[in-house]
Amino acid sequence: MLRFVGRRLLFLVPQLLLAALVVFILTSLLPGDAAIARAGGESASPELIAQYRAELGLDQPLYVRFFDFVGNAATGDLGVSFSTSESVSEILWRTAPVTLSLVLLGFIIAILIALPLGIVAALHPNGWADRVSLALATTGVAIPNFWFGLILVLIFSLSLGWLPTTGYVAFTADPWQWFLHLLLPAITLGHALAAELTRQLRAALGDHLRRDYVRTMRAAGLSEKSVVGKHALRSALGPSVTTLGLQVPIAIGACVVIEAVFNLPGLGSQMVQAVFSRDVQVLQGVILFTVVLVVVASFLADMAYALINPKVRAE
Amino acid sequence: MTTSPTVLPDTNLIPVAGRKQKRRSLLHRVFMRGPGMVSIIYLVVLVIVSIIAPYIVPYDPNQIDLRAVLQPPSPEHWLGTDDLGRDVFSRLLVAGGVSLAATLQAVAVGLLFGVLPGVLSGYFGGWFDTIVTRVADVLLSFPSLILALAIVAILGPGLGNAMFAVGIAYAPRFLRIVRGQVMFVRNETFVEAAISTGIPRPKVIWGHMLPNAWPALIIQISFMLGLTLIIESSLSYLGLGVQPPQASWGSMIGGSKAFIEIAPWLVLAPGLVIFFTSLAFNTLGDVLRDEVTGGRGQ
Repeated sequence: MLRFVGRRLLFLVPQLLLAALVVFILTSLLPGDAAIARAGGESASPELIAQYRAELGLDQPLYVRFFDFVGNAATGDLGVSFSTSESVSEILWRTAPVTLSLVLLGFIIAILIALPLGIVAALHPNGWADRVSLALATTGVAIPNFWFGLILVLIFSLSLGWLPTTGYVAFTADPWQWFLHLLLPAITLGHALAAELTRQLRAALGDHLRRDYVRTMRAAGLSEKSVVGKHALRSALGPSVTTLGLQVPIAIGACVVIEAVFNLPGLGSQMVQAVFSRDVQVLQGVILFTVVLVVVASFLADMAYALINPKVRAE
Repeated sequence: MTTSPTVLPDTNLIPVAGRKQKRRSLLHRVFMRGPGMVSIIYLVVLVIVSIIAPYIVPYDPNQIDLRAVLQPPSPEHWLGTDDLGRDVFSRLLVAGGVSLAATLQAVAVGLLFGVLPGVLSGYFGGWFDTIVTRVADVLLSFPSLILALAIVAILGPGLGNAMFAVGIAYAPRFLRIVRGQVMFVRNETFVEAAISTGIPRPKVIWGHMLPNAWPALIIQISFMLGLTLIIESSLSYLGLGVQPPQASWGSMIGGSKAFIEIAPWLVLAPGLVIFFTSLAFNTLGDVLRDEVTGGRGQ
């Protein structure tokens, strides 16, 4: 196991460097730079801009700037926002918990939907659960998240008044309000994520239930609970863990829109704001952070898969 | 969503002596299945209506009428009016053309930037393949909406820019499919035979190898159209796609979410159309996949 972790970690470093390179290239292409912004816009005198450029190291060649960027990022220094002068790491510190809470609750809801539905659907092909899972899988992909979120707000907040419409309360301030404020956004996210998960679990479990070892266990008189719960499900869960890992980028992408619908002050809202104000530094920091999240999540998913399935470790 | 490389099994090649057997086209077979037929009819009607929309709308879609704001659906205004008194039904029809054209544009950009590198990468292999697939993998690890946001930040808000961005974000998916298929057939006898008869390499790739990638590519295109429509409407909802007074389905929802409590029809109608259209593309993709791989896929 340790060798597997080590080998996978070796992969992680070039992956992160490449991701940083892509982020760096993308944001270097942005029109205008920090020097112009600090000097007060395009109308500032060229001398002043040149002076700031030298101060900020923007007159250095691109590769020097890239290594500076990576070195600074590794120590947590992601620069300062052009528009608010707040440091980018502070912005991340403030906004990341919101998005991470949403993603976490979204995944919990997705698993709460997908696990029972996938199991019942696999046990009774063409039964009602199978039909529901198929309908969910289709609608989960085709419904626009922001619209589904608005409909939920319309029904549960505005008409029934059960839940708060928008806004965010920190977990440390009031856990119950935190949960209530995040419930509708998390259902919106969870519904989208559950689609693929249910589909995957149903297929994997259905496949295992048709295998010889399951037939042998049933013939040997093992209870159905033990056959399905202890043996077939465990084998079928492996690929589902990988699916969960693969869904992290989808979830984070979906957060951008969901946060906008529910006015959550998370990474997504920050990113949209940065696009509108053309705040390169913030955009760079937030995108880099999300990509690191995705890469680390896929690493953790691989680890979890290896824990469940010893065959992966040996490869 | 991602489709593993699939190769068309020739189950429909039935040899019948002395009689000319006509192999039914994929499109025909898809049309013969209920969900496939419904999807195709819906999409064809939608495309036709979107094209002729500017000539058949009952009202000018951008005509502001402040005496008739936020009216509920009625015989005069089938889907009511928005906060500026504009007829929602007319706007919905015209916005359809905008949304569909944008979706097509994004998928075309994705194909343009995905197919050629995919072919070259699969054909030549070696270090070129390693670099191309590494870059594609990194791009795939970016959430596509976030990659699109970054590119919109560079190019500025606007539907054309946004869709270019989405196309770039999706190019790696097409690249992977084409690369896989080209690698799959690279060492097959028919490719060797074609090369040994002196057919130029580009022609071998285009005429002999690429056709094997078409079925998988068409399936992916169908799913991608559905997904791109959602992304387009999301970007327009955020205000980063289509710019006013022009409207797409997404921006219609974004523009009227403040009135959701007093005028829910403003949000319901465009959302339902996005849902049905995306559903049609996805269903079409499912049916195509079933027909190509011969069975209900996973």
